[in-house]
Amino acid sequence: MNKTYMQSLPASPNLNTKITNKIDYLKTVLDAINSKNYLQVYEMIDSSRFNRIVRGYQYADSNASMANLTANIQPELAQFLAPKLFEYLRVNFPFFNYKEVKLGVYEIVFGQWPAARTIGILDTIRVEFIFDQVALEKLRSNFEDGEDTLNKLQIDELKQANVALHKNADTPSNEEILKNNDQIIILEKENVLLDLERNSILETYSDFQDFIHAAQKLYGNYINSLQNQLDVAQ
Amino acid sequence: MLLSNNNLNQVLSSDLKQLNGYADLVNRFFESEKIPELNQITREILQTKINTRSVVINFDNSPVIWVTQLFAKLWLLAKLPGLNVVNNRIRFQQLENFEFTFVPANMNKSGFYLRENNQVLNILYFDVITQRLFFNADALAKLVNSNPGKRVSSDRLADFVKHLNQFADALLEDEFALDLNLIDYENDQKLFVDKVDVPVEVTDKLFLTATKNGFFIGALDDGFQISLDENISLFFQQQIEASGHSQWYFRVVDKKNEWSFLQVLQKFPFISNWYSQNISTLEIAYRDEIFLN
Repeated sequence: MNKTYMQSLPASPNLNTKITNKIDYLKTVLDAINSKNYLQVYEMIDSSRFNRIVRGYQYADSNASMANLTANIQPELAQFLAPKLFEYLRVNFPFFNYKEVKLGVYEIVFGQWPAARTIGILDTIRVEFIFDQVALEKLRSNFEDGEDTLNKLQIDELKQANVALHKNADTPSNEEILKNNDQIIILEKENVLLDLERNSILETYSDFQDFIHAAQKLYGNYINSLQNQLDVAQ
Repeated sequence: MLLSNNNLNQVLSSDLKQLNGYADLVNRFFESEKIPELNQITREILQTKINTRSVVINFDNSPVIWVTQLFAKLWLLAKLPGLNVVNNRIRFQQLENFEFTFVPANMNKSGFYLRENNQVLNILYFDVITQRLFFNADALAKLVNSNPGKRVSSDRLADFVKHLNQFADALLEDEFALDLNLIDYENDQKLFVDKVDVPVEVTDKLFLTATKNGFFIGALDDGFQISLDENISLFFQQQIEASGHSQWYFRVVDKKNEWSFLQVLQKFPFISNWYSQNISTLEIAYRDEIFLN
């Protein structure tokens, strides 16, 4: 009896449609990837955001139920999308470099100098800079307060302490002076790094706010640039 | 006691034989146009002991004279200009503020140091007996960092370095062993630091001084690259030894392949200051067994 029941029930039209839709969705994503149609990939993985930000729709339905199908392949997808995004970033944020710390996860490294700071993560799927707020705040302060201001008080105090140790010849002070010198180097290095970061930003942007504004609009600007490339190609 | 004719004849013959042999060597020295031959003649001259009984040799026959003469003649045979010798004092046209003389090296060495007289710096070791020409990294760095050294234009120093390299090249014809270290301008030449492992404070100081002086310093996987101008880069890199220690080295790369580390030290004071202030860590490896007393 049971055997007959299991064998005789066909799939409901509804289920059939749902599975077909999913297959179609994944097939479309696959085709977009194979043809390197980045624009379509971004639309497929978050159509609501795409429509709101790129097309300017006030309200756009989410395709999250479909996009969730890609949840398990996010690292591979992020890695696929990265090189094209890097091309854009090299022009518009030339001071950033990216280090893949695990599959599809990219740290943002500021500059190519020694001890360059890591200041966040680049999400290549959402096309977003996720900045480390403490690192960003130091940079903002450098813009507002000017060069060499961070740590200045501490550096001056250490230098004064060294002068005092030099004067007091009876005290065995060499070790203390060397310790202070090492600390001064560390503090000065941080200042120099922030100055380099600031000067690099100013080569591309008028000020810190201009830079932050461009960083916040990264998704829209990048998708538009992909659209423009497509238009030119056609 | 009266000498017999026979005895006198023997002494005179022996003395004449020695003098004729010596005169022949001297003659061949001045006539020789081939570097290996000239070196061989000089070796024979230096090893000749004149022991005449009938006459007293009354001229200065010190090895310093012959080494100085040899050096000057080799310079000419290498087709190099600008070297003058007066009273065994050597002057190079490009380094007019300096005067050099050859001085014998330590007792157990057969060669000579070329010493700058005012700075008292032995810039090279020249040994025609064992065929060795070694440059002294420490002395050369101090020479260009001295006040007269700082006044030498970079073009003149470049010429001088080029001539020294050509001189050394010429000696290869006689299979000399060379250690060019600071004056080697080949792009692929690695100048190894004598000690292993460079503390991070020292590389931090390099970063700070380069940046504060407006030079771009870039991070490499294994060290640093400083762009000194659009044509010249100084690399400071490390390789990991089997012992696990880092062996650091300098490399100067320029498009025309004519810049040595010595020229970099002279032209860019921030580099030479950093180098000399951290010399205990950064000193380039050289033949210190030859140059240290």
